[in-house]
Amino acid sequence: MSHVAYMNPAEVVETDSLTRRMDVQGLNFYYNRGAQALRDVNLPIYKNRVTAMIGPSGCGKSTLLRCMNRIYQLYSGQFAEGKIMLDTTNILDGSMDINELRSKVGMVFQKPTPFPMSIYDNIAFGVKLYDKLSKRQMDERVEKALRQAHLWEEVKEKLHQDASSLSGGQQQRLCIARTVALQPEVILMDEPTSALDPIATQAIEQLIEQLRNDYTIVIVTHNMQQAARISDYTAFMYLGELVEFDETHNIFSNAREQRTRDYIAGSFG
Amino acid sequence: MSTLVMKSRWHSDTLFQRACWSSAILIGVLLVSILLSLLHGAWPALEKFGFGFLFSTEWNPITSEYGAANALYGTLVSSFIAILLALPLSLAIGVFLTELAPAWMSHSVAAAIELLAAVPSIIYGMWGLFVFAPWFSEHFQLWALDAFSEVPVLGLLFSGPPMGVGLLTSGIILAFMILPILTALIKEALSTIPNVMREASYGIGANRWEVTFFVLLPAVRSAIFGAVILALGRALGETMAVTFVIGGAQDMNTSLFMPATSVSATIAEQFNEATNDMHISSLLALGLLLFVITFAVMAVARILMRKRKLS
Amino acid sequence: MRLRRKITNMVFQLACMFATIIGLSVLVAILYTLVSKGLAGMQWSLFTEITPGPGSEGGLANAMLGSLIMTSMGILIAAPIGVMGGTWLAEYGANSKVASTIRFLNGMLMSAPSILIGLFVYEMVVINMGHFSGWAGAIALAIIALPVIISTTEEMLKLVPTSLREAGSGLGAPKWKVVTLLGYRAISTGLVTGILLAIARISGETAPLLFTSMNNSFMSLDPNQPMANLPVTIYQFAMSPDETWNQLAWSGALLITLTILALNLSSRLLPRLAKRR
Repeated sequence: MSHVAYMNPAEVVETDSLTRRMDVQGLNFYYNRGAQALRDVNLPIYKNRVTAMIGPSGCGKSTLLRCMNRIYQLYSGQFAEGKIMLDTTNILDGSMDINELRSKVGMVFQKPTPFPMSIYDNIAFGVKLYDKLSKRQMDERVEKALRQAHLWEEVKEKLHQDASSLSGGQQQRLCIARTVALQPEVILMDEPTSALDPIATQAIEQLIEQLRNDYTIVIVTHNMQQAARISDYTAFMYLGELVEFDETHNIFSNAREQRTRDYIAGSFG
Repeated sequence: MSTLVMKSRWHSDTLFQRACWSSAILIGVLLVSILLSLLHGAWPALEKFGFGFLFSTEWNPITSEYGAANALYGTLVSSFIAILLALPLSLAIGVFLTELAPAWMSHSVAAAIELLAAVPSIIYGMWGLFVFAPWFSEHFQLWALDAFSEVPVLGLLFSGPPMGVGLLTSGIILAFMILPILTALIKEALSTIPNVMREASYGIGANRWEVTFFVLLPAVRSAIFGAVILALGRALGETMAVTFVIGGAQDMNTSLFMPATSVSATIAEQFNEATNDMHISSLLALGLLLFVITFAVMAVARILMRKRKLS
Repeated sequence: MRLRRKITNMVFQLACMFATIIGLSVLVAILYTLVSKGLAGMQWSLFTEITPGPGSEGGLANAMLGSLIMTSMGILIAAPIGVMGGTWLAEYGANSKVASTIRFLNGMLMSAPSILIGLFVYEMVVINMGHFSGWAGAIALAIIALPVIISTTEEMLKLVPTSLREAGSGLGAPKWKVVTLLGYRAISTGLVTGILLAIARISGETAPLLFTSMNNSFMSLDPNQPMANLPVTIYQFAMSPDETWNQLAWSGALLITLTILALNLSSRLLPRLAKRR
C-alpha cells in the first residue's frame, strides 16, 4: 500500500444524521485474467446524499459504479472480490438475486438508452417486471415517475409516441424516470450528461438536486464543475485506487492529498 | 420479492436458453442426418458396385447396372463452362460498377443484377429451353459447326446436332445463374480496397485499365478465388435449370452440343419413376456423391473467405 | 506506345460496359419472355379453376393454394426455430467453439443443393408415411428456410447496441426478457425482412417438392395427402406437349416470378419505410 494514504472514511466525516446506504469494503476488481482495475477500494455511500466520483479517464470510477449493481456480470471474465454492502447484505456474495439487486440499485447510462417502444411502455417495462398492476395503477405509476423526472409536462400529450422521437435531454430524463419508477434505494449515474448540450445538462442537474430528497445518488462525472455543483461528497480516484473521499467542499478547496489538489488544479485532467 | 418468483424467473431464463440451444444444435443434427440417410439409402448400390460406381458409364435399369460417370461428367463439365463464362463477365461487371459507373447508375444496376439472383431456377430452365436454346441453335450452333469443323479440338467440342439443348447450353444457363452472386462478391471485394490505393496508382499516371488490371484485381485475387469456389458450389448442385436444358441423355461425349445429363438432373428425372430398389439406391448414391462434392467445395470456399477476413 | 495504352484502356472500358449490358439483357429477356408468354393466360379462371386434364381448360387454383399452404407451414416451422437458433449464436454461443461449428454447418446447410433436402425428407418422412404429403413438402421447405433465418437473426441481434442490453439488465430484467422484449423489438424490421427473404427463397423451390409433396391434380387442403403446388405443376406442364398446359405453365411462371420479385422488393423497401416512420 506504501504511499497511498489509506484511510477509513469513517474517520473523515461522520455526522449523526448520516446513515450508510451502501458501503464498499476492500473491493478489488479484475478484467480478464490479471488486469486489475480496482485496488482495495473503501467507500461509504450516504443515504439521501449525492456522491460524485471523479478522476482521469481509466481511473476506475466507472468500473466501481458498475460493481455497485453488478452490471459487469453481463461479461464473462470480469470479476470482483471484497464486499459491497447494501444496507445489511453483501451484494457480492451472491445471496441476493441479481435482478432484485438491480431493482434496488438503478442505473442511468452515459448515452440515453430509450427502449424501442413508446414513452409510456418505456416506463411500464421495468414496473411490469416486479409488480402486476391494473391499467389505472400503471397509469399513475407512469405519471408519477414522469413528474419526478420533470418530464410529464413535455410528454403528457404524446405518451404513446415512440420514445426515440424525444430530444437527447428528454430521452435521458425518460431513462431517469424509468429508473425512478422502480422506486429504487440507490440510483447510479454514469456520466449522465456527457452526451447532452448545456441546457439539457442543466435540467438534469436540477433534477438530481431534487431526487436526492428521495433517493441516494452516486454519479460518475469527468466534469469537475458539475461534481462541485451537485454533489455532497466527492471521491477522487486515480489508477484504480481511491485516493481521497470527503465532503465536496473540502475536496475542492482543501484536499489533503497532493494528487487530488493537482487534479483539481487541472494539471492532469 | 418472494423466492418463488425468483425461482420461476431463474427457470424461464434457463428454459429460454435451452430452447435456443436446441434450435442451434438442430442444424448440426440435420446435416448429420442428411448425410446418414443418404448413406443408408445408397448402401445397397455402394455395396454392389463399390468404387467402380464412380467410373462406370453404364446406367441401365433393365440390367440393373449403374455407374455415376456420365452424370458426374455432365455436372463437372457444365459447371466448369459456367465458371469459365461467368468469371470474366462478372469481373467486368464488378469493375464497371465500382470503378467506372457513376454512383446512381451503379446502385440501380447492382440492384437489377441482384434481382437476377431472385429468379427461381425453374424459370431459368423454361427460358433456357424455350427461348434461349432455339436462338442459340440458330445463331451460334449452326455457325460454329460450319466455322470450326476443320479446326482441331474446337471442331471436336463444337460438333453434333444443333438442337439447342446440351452440355454447352446448360453451362451457359448456369453461368447466368451464378452471375449475380459472383458479381456481388467481386464488387464487395473491390469496394474494400482503400481509395488511397487508387489515388496512388492514378497519381503515377496509370490509366483505368492499368490500375484495374495491375493494382486492384491482384489486390483482391484471393477474394475472387473464394468467390469462384462458392459459385462453383452453387453450379454443381443446381437442379431444375439444368434438368430443362441438358437434354437428359445418359451419355458421355466430347461434343458440347450433344445432350447429356448431370447428377442432379438424373435424380430429378428418374427418382419418382424408379421402381426397382437398386435403381433407387443408385440414385441416392448419386445424391450422396453430390452432397460430398458440394460440401467439400463449400467448405473450401468458406475457409478461404474466413482466412481473408482474419488477415 | 501511348496510342496503344489509350486503345487498350478504351477497349477495356467498353468491354466492362458490354458485360454489364449482357447481364442486364438476360434479366430483361427473362422478364420479357415471362410477360409476353404468361400474360395471355392471365384471366380470372386461372385463380378459380383447378388444373385441367390434358386437352381441357382450367386454372391453377389448387396449385396456388397448395403452394400457399406449404410455404406458410414451412415458414411457421422454420421461423421460431430459426429465430431461437440465431439468438443462441448471438447471445449465448458467441465466440465459443460450438457456436463457430454451428455457424459453419449452418453455412453448409444453406448451400446444400435443395434436391438433396428433397431426398432426405423423402427418406425420413415419405417412406415412413407411405406416400407423398403436404407435410413432407412443408418440412423440406422449412429445412431450406431455416439456415437463412438463423443467419439473418444472428446478424441482426449482433447489431443491437450493448447500451440497450445494459439498460435492460440495469432495470433488473432477466436475460430472456432483455432478448425477447428489447432485442427482438429493436430488430423487428430486420427479422421481418429476413423472413420475407426466406419466403422468397422457398416459394420458387421445385426440386425439394418433387419427392415430398409431389403434385395433386385436385383441390386438396389435407396436408396428409399429396399437395398440388406451383413449381412442380409448372415443371410438369412445361415439359408436356399439351398446349393448354404449356400456356398454364407460362402463366404460373409469370405469377411466381412476380410474387418473388415483389417479396424481394418489399424486403428492400421495408427498412426504409420503417426508418421514415
